Amino acid sequence: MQESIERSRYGCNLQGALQTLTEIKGVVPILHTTPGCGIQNYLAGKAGGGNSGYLKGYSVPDSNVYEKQVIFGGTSRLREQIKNTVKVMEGDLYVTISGCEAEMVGDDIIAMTQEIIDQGENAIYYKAAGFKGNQFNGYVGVIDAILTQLSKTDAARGIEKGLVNIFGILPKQDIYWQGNLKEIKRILENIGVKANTLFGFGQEIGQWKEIPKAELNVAVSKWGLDAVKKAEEKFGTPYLYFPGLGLGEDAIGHFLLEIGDKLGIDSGKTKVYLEKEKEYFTHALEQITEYYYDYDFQKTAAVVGDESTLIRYGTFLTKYLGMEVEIAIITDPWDEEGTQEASSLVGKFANRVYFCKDSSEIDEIIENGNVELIFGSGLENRIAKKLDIPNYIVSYPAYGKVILDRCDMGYTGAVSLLEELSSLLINQ
Amino acid sequence: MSKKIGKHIAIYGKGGIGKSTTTSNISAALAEAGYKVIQIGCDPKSDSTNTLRGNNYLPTVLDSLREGKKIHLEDVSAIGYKGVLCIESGGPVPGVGCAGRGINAAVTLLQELNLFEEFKPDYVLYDVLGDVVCGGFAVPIRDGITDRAYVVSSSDFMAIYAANNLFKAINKYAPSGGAKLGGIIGNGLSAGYSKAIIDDFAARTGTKAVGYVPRSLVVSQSELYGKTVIEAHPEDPHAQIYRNLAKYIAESDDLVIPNPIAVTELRDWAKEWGDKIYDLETGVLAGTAGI
Repeated sequence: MQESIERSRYGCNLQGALQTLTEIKGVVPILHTTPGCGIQNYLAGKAGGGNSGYLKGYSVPDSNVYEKQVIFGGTSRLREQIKNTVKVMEGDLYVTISGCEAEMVGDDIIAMTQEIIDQGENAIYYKAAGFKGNQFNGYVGVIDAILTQLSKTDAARGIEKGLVNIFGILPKQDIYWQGNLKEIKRILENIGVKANTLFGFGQEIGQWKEIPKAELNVAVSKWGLDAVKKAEEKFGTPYLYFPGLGLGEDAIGHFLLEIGDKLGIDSGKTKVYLEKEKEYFTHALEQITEYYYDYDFQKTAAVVGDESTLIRYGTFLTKYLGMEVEIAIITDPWDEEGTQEASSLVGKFANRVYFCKDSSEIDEIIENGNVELIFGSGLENRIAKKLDIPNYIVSYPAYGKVILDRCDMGYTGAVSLLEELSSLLINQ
Repeated sequence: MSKKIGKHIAIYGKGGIGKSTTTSNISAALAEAGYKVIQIGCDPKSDSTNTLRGNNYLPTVLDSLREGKKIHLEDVSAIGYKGVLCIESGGPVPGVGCAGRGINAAVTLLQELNLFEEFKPDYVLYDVLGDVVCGGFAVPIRDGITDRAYVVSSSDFMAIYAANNLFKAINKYAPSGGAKLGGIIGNGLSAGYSKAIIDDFAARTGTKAVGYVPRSLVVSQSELYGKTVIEAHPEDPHAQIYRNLAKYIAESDDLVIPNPIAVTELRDWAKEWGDKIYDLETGVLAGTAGI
C-alpha cells in the first residue's frame, strides 16, 4: 500500500510549468484544465516567496472544462478559449497547457495549437498532466517544450562570444530565485561573461530565442541538467554542471574559474576579481565577529530543502560559521541513482542525511535530532516553535515572506546571510 | 442508494458478439410474459434497443446532456415492444472524450431523474459494452447499480477473453457490494465443439452456462426487419430459446463470484482446445470433454 504524505510541500507538474512560464514576459499560458488549476498555482506561488509572475494569478486563461468536455472531448472548448485569448491578450508566445482530465481523455492539444500557429501566432504546447510529476518535472518539461518547439522556426543563428545560458534555478520554487539570477549575472559580468538568465525582470521570449547563440550552458542544479543536455544535442552547445551553486568565495571561485576556463578567459583576470570579492566578504565576516562569540553562532543545525539549497547552505555554514550540520533532509524528488549522488554530496558536510517529503516525519527527525537551529521551509515553523528554536527560511514554501531582490547565492547572498542570521541569533 | 425497484441485471460481452440481440430478446420475452421492463443500452454505439422499437430514432441521454438543456425522461426514452422502456446512454464520437465517464454520467442522471421510481419496473437490463476497458464500463456492476451480471460469449477465444476480463472486474468489485455473476450465455454457437468450449471455460472459472443460442438465420432476418425474434417469429424454436433464457434470468438467484483465469493460463487453455479441435477435424478420436 502507498504511504500518505502529510503536509506535502510541492505542487504538480502543471503548477511547475505555470510558475515557470509566468516569469517570462510576453508569454501567455492557456490552460486546458478543470477549474481551479490556475488558481492553485497562484495561491501556491504566494505561499512560496510571495511574488506573482508577469501574468498575475487570476488572469491566466483557462478553458475550465466540466463533465461535458470530459465525456465528449474538450477540443472545441479549447479552440474557443484560444481564439478568444488571442483576441484579448497580446502575447509574444502562447503556450497551450493540458491538465489531468484533458490528458486522460486524449484531447488533441497539438492540433489546437497548430491552428493558431497557422494563423500566424507564435505558439507551442505542453502536456502537463499533473499526475506526471511535480513542480520540478513541470519546470524541466516546459523548458524542454520551449527548446524543442520554439527552435523549429525561430532560433537565432551564430554564436555570441561570452554568452552563457543559466538553467536550474526554478522560479518561485527557489524562494530567492530573482536575486540569485541577478547575482549570477553580476558575478559573471565581472569576468566579461554575459548571462542569459531567461526568467524575471526584463526577460522575454527574445532572450529564449538567443539560447542557441550561447557559447556555453550552465546548470546550477540537477533540475537544469536536462535543459543543458537538450541544448547540447540540438545546438551543439557545451555545458557545465554545478550541483549546488554556492555561497562565498570557495564555491564561487570554483564556479567562475571553471566557466572562465571553458570560455578561454584569462584566469589571472578572474582571480583578481575573486580577490576583490573575497576582501569584501572577509570584511563583512570580521564585522560580526563580536556577535559570533558573544552569541555563540557555532550551533548544531538541521537543514531542510531541495538538494541544491542544502549543498549551498550546508557548505557555507560548516566552513565559514563553524556550525555543525547534524541533520540534512533532502525534500526534492529523487531516484535511486540520484540518491547515492546526493548522499555523497550532502554527506560531505552533514552528519546524517535523510530523504523525506512527509512534513510530520521531518518534524520527528528534527525533534529527535538535538539541534539548536533549523534552516528549513515555512512548514518547519511548527516544530521550531515546539522546540523553541529559530527556523531560518531557506526553502519552499516560505510562508509569510515576500522576497523580491534578496539572494542566497554568491557573495551578495553570503553577506546577506551573515546579516540576517546574525539578527536572528542575537534576537533569540 | 435508495431501495432498488425491480431486479437490475447487467449483460456484458465482447463487441459484436450479440449482446444487444440477446438482451433485446430477453426484454421482449419478459415483457411478453407481462413484466414491466426497462432496457438501458450502455454503449456509445447506442443501438442496443433498436429491435425493440423498430429502428426508430431515439435521442441518447448523453446527446441531451451535450445540448445542456433540462432533461426529461420522455425526451430520452421510447416505449418499445409490449411496453419495454428503451433508453440509450450514448457516448462521444469515436476517438474523442471518455465513453467510460459518459456511461457513469448517464446512469447517474437516470437515477437523478427518478427513472425507477416513476416507471416501477420489474426488470432493468443494462446492455454494456463488454471489454471492460476502464472503470467507467464497470459502473453498472459496482456502486450497487446491479446485483447480477451475465456475459454473452461465443466459443471464440477473444469473446472468452472478454468474458474472463469481466470476471476479473466482478471478482474485484463483488466483495465490496458489486454485482455477482449469474452465468454465461452461449451465443452464435455453430460448430459441434462450441458448447463444450464454453462449458469447459465455465467449469474452470467456477461458473456455469445458463443458455445456449445457436447461430440462426431467423435472428439475422428479424434484425433486418428491426424486430426481435420474439416479435418477428414468435413461433420459431429460437423464440422459445430466448423465452427459456428470460425465464431462467427472471427466476434464478443462483449467483457466484467467478474465478478468472490468469492470462498465461488462459492462453495455454486455448492452445489445448486448438489441439483438440485440430484432432477432431483431422479425424483423431479421443475422449475429449463433451465433443
